[in-house]
Amino acid sequence: MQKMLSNKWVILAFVAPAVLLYAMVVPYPLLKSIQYSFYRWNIIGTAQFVGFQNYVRIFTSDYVFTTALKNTALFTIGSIVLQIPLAFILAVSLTKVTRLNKFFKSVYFLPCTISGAAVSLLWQFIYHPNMGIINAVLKSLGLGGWARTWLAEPDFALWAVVISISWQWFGYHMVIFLTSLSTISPEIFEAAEVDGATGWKKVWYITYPLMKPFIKISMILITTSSIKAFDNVYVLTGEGPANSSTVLALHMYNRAFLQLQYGYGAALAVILLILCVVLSGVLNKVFGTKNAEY
Amino acid sequence: MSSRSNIAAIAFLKLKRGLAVVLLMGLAISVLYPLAWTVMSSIRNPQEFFLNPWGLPTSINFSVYKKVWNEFYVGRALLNSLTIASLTVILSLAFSLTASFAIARMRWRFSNVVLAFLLTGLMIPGHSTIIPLYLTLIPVIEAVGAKNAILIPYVAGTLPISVFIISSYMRSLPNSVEEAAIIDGCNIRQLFFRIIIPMSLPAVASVTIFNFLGVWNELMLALVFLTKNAEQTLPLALLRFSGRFGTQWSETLATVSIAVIPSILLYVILQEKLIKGMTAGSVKG
Repeated sequence: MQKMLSNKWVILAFVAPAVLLYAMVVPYPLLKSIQYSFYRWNIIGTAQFVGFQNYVRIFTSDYVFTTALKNTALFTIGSIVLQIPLAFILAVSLTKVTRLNKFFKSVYFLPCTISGAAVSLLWQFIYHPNMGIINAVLKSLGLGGWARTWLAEPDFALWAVVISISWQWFGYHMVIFLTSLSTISPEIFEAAEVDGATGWKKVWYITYPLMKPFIKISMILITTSSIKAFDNVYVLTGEGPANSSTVLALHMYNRAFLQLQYGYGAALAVILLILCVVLSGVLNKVFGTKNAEY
Repeated sequence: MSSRSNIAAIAFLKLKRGLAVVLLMGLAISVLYPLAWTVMSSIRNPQEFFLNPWGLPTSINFSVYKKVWNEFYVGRALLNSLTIASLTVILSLAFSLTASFAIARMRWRFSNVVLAFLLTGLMIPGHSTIIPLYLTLIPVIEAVGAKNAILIPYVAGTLPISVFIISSYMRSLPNSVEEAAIIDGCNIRQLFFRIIIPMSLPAVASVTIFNFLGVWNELMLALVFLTKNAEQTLPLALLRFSGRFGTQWSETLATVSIAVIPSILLYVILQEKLIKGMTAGSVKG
């Protein structure tokens, strides 16, 4: 058996296709991106080595990049604030409401199965100045003065995206938390009740510490997907009005594929990669490897 | 404790629970209503829709569907999405099942190194590879067409998560599996096809669902690779009716419905399986 399971040729035949395909499509282009980022390459065929010039330009004279970086940070924080507490409260409540909890769980998860493009178009209509339901509700409540052309407001456009994305994904994080809650043994709660802990005290002192590793997972997921956010911004606001809702991925796409500045776009792509890796690392550290045990 | 304060306590508890249910219900409506509304609006008469967009339909009218299906390649986009997503799923399974089997069940020195190499992909955003990838694949696009060429990044992109889920599942199978199989006279091919794959079906199901929906909903690669109307997938078809001069809403909502109804049907049928598949990468299980 030992012999059969360590047959070199079988191993090679089984592993090589996946490894080669992966190597060609992910690590190799990644290294190429890093290489391109040191070139000025505007039209195909005229690449010219320029050292760190692309990076210098990005950090010193690209105001759209500055907006994109700031927006990506706000996007991340906004998505965390809107989704994680809500998902946590829902998960805890659903363990108490017994009769309809399956129904609620299914409904809250539903939008995760739909494409970001479809969700964004739906929200584009919700925000529509004349026909959208937000303005309609405001008017019917006598608050017509609060009605806005939401997506044309530079101060609101980014938040419009954050709201729609949180609407789509809060159920996903709720399911992560529900899974983690199901691993907590009921005896721990019983013991806590004997010690006099009740209601939200129990949640704060027992449920929350035990769920910390899962909250960490959600935080990392939201952070990396906010850095990568593209679909929802592209469709809902298209970075408008006047770049006010642009994000890193969209800026990279525009530079590389609309303005055909491949070198500059590659430099933006490298920055995006570094942010993803560094921030996941930082979150991992901040939330620690020490998990609560009882 | 007197019985009266007991009753008050119970009433208070019931009130709290009732309040919670009302809030949960409100949230459920805020999720369901816009989706139901999308489908409902797309089958209304367009003129009636514009007079009162959030009202209930008084008649059913499929004319918009006919229009987008016949004049705007939406039927074609549905077919493209189906074939591209299915092919990605099948090819990805072929690559990741073989690799996972060798990594998780066979014995060799560098299995963990190879696994770690493949899992680096979980950290690398597709954005950081898309520019060189597109530029190197231009000749391939010209040779075999964009619809076939896009399978390369799609399949490769699904490998890290697929190998992660399948190999950790295969590792959890007991060692006695091989022993019994070999005593029964299985060779390595039979062990792989007849024993390990059937035992790994729960992981295969998760990966299938995750990858299918991932490709079905993917926008950025599609935007870069699929430039011609006839080769585009549904997420791109959705955007055909918006432009500089506003959006043709009836057409958009009908196309959104065409894109969303299959996902929702799949979800209604598979429920727990689908939730598990979509979260399998974040919560092991």
